[in-house]
Amino acid sequence: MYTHLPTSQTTPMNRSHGSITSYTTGFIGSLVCTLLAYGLVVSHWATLPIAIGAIVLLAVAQLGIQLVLFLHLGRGGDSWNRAALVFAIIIVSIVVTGSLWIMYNLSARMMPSTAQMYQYMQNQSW
Amino acid sequence: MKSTPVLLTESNDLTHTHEQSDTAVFGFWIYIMSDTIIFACLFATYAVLHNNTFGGPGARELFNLPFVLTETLILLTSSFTAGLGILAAHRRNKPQVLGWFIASLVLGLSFLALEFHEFSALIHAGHGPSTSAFLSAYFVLVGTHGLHVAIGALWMVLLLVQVARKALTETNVRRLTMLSLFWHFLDVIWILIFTIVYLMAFV
Repeated sequence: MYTHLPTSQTTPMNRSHGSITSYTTGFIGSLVCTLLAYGLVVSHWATLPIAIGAIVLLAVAQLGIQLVLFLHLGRGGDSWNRAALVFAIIIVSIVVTGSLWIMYNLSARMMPSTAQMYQYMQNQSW
Repeated sequence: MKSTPVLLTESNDLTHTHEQSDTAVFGFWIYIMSDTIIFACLFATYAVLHNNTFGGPGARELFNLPFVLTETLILLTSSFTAGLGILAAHRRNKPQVLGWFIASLVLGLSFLALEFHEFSALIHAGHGPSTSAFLSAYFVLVGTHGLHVAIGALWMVLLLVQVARKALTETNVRRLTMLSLFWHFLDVIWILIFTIVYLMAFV
């Protein structure tokens, strides 16, 4: 009777709380991502669009590493945790892309540059 | 014959508190997800306003990248030691729990000290939050993260005192689980701040 108690208690724990290997892998992976992104920016090794793409990619990779290895997502069972995460990601992408999209358009329409303003005035003077 | 039903109810009680504990951790996860949405709003604000410097210096002139890298590495290590602390908590090893979480606490406090130094240097140089829309967005985004770290550090102190004075009970392990979840989450947010606020400015 007693022997089955600890096992039924520890099996789900070991699964959902990671191990020393998973934490160390996560730590080293995050360290590599951080230092690679930093080195890329400091060395000015890549051209602008490539560098931005690369550091965004490294940040997303590090996010994935930490979500899986530190926060223990993506391993079976805890589907409600993932459902909440997916919902949050949807809201976050609507807020961020929506704000950038609308405000970029707004500033493009509201504030013409001096050169554009001059051009406009030239066209108006008949 | 008589001991069997007693053991059965005991095991039922154990699974029951376990389910309760899982529900509580899930509730805390919901809180973290809503906090993510708060940070998303602040990130969107920063992304929209980061060029509105009102004629003043921009991110590239104001920020010191090696300094921020130090902050990043400190917070990352702090997250790692909190993870080792939670592993020790599941082994019910009290001295190790205290050791790893005190390491996390010290690293978290040094992160806060560095951030405080960064903020006060900016304000003393005349680049306070009221200078421009860019600096307002910057101080609110990074300051909100710093406030979270400060609250997390306070929580850690209180919980460590409780663990030190009492035992590693089921309840305390649950609290440590939530705290480490919160601490990892703050590191995840910091990665985004490091990339979007600091690295992007120097590309």
